Amino acid sequence: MAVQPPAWANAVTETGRPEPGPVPPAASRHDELHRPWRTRLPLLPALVFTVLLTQIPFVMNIFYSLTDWTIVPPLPRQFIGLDNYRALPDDQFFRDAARVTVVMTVSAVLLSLVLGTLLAVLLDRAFFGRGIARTLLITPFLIMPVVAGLVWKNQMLSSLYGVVNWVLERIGMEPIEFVSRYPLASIVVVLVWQWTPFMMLIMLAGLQSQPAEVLEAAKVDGATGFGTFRQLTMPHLRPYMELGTLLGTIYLIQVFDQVAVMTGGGPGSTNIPYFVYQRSIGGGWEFGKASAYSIVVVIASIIVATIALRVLSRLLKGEEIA
Amino acid sequence: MGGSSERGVGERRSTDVVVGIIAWLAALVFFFPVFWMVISSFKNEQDANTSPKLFFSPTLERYKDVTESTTGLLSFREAFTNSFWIVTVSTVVVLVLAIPAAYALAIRPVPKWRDVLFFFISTKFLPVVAAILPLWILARDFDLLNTRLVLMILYTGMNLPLAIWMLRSFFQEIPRELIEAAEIDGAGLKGQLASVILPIAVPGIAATALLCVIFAWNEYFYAVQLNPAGGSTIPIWVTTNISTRGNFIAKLSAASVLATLPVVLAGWLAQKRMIRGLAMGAIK
Amino acid sequence: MASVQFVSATRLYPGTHEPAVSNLDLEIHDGELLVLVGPSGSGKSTALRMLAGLEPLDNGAILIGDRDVSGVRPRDRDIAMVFQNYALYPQLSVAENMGFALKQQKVPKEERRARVREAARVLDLEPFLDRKPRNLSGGQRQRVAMGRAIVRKPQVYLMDEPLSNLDAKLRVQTRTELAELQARLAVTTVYVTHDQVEAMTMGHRVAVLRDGLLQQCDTPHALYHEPVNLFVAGFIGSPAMNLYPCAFGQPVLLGGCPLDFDTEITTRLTSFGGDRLVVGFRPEAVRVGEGPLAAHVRTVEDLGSEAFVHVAFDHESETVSAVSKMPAPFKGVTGDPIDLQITGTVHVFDPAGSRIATGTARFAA
Repeated sequence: MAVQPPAWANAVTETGRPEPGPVPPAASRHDELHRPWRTRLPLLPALVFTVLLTQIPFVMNIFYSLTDWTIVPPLPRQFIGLDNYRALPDDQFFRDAARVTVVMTVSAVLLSLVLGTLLAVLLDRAFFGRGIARTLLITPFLIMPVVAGLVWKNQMLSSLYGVVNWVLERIGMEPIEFVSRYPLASIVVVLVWQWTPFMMLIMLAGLQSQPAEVLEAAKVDGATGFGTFRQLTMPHLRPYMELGTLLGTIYLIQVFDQVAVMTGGGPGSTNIPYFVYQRSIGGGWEFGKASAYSIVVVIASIIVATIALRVLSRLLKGEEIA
Repeated sequence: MGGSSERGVGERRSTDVVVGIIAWLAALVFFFPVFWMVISSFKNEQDANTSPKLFFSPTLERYKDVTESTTGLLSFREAFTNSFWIVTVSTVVVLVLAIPAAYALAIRPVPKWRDVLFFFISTKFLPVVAAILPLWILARDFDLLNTRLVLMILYTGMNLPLAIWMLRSFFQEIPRELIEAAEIDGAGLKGQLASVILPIAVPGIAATALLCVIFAWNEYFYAVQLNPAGGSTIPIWVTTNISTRGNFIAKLSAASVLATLPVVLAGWLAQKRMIRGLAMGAIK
Repeated sequence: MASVQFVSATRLYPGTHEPAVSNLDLEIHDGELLVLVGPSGSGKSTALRMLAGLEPLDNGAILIGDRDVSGVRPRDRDIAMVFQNYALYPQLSVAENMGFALKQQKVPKEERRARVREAARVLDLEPFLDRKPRNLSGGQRQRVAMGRAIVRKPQVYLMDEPLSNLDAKLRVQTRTELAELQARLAVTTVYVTHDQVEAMTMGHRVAVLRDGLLQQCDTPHALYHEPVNLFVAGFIGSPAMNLYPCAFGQPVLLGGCPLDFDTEITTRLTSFGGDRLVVGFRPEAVRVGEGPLAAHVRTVEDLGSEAFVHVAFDHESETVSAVSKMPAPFKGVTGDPIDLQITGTVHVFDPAGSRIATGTARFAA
């Protein structure tokens, strides 16, 4: 909506300042010429920073993926086109890592979402010492992932001195070597332990944002507690669940610390991040191949992201209506 | 505001009690590993490496062990100082970049703000591991390996999308009229920020900053890949306390407690803010 | 259909010293529309919520019919409620909103749909049955809230300021529709409002509350003509009654003019022991033009059908004002000198609040 500056606003004195007169309305400062740049300016530093930091490595990755670069043995790097990509579908290890990633992420996200919701429902009611209970419950999320992995591996799940096995023995069962025998499950346990509080906080926010009047109306209309939860609260919580799933997935797909520290990529527990690490700077030194893996993962992530975008824009569109 | 907090008329009191019991059980179960880690840190290695014991004679020796500086090895003091500076600077820079960006996405939305927001979020979809090789090469070429600066830069980039997302939501909470009034009074970006936006959004900014601190402090992968020999951070220091010879669990516990204490305390103290933060920052 | 009774009902919020509702004794007849009115903080909404079971009783009891429902859950009380902000279920359509209570009662689907459709027809909501609340206007949402209550056949309807979020014109229109609807359905209704005009026009009886205490429960006519205390007298009626603290002497002087009370008032005053009293009369009971009391015009509100003339005069060395209802058009402007004479009912109150006597009076020359 261009607003033509009034003629007198253009009157300029010798010093270059507009003639003193009636103050021009604010709109004339925001005509078509100035508006886009003014509004975009605050965004630029963050945008430029992020673009440089993320896109440059990405482009470099693409370049390396088209070569056969290795460090050991230190052969000269040659351009081999799409050979790395062609070899990918046959790479059993890559496929395994992809499978592990999916299983790990999906189970961790789902379990922590369900547990988090249950805990949020509990914490939504007033009971004695609720604040302290909540404080205890959020602590796992604050713990360093490497520490979490180490504590669970050495002290909880350890077959030698682990607490869990101590409990199992007390109830008459045999001790189980959790981390050796069930590496993926052990990692998922730690992930769920750490991310349930996060989901719980989001769902708690959702529960507390329900207008009290609506819940009262349901009471008067004859709904039981459970009925109210099923018919009114769950639909209300849906955007919160979607958000929790979205954020949780973003972070859990990238899990590295717990894998590194608990199993070191043992059988069945290597996810994509750890796999790429292994192939490149973690000992494989096959930079060309590793870059190809990364690019494939990026493409897959973009596909996932586009789906997530549809979720996102529904979330964001909700804002337009509200 | 909302939520079903109080017991209603005619509701049985026993429901409250049952809920309380289950909630407390869950809280104790979830907290137990942390509790165990803490008490293990006060044990000597003998006690720590046998069947689980609750009763023992506590000692502070392990804390002494892990905080003693040994030449050639990463000391607690060095790691803590590195972490402190890296986290502080990166969080400040994140806020400095994210606040104007959030302004541009919430208060005076640029055209295509949704696309921009998606772009920022999408940078988190790219696996950290994918970027590490080029970053490592760039860091080496710019002589930034084993420095604090490289992690400051990377952590800023790591937390920026989250900060922008959350701050944008907080800024949207601010009543339009206040901003319009400030604008009529002649305030530009800086003026509006100073007089209207920042004062109101302080809890949200605090919550965002806290989350950035948590993620930056706990970050291990970039740190261990780029700074193994200098500018090393606390997460790296913790792992140096694992030894292949002899028992180390008590020592490791002591190290773990020291490593996690700052963030846990910060999280506990700012709990309510963080909940409000995640609540408002998340949806809306 | 049932009567409702509040028996010494009290609610004291934890941490406060004064009860929000204090020993409320109120009986609502079967099929009656009783209005609870009062300024904010008077306890009217709290009393309604106690009846709904959304607030507990700290003392006393509430009966619906013959049943003591004091400790009974809201859903077991057989009541329907219209909330001030409507409290519509946001994720459900209009039809689902209205049918929600029936669904909880496990009413079969066909019957549910029929009843919802019937209520929608009565309230002109048929075109909106599939919409969600966020796509409705304020007036439409209000009707859905009403529909949600009408669809059920409860013993009591509770309405918490259902019209206060509507614009003025819509409010007046909906008011009459609501009153007609209630008369037709003949269900006992308890209606809360802060607007005394609404109260007077709608209720069979009106209960005036102040600071948690019931002041008077009577027909609108009785409230208007026989207010039991100063508060009710000043609260009911618009514009408000003209009230003047005066010294009790022989004679009582108002604005320096002696007041000639009739025998009714004079008799009652013989047993009055105080030295001050409050004299009140409504705008329609005082005429401006000619008369013993000299005043001047402050403003004239000409409404077309009548005019409210605000005048000022000196009384007990202060300037006070009076409002007089005169036929329109009124010839007089701000500053004109003008005289007053009382022509109608006069009330006399004890300064502590209660009404002593009612009758007629005039300014003596």
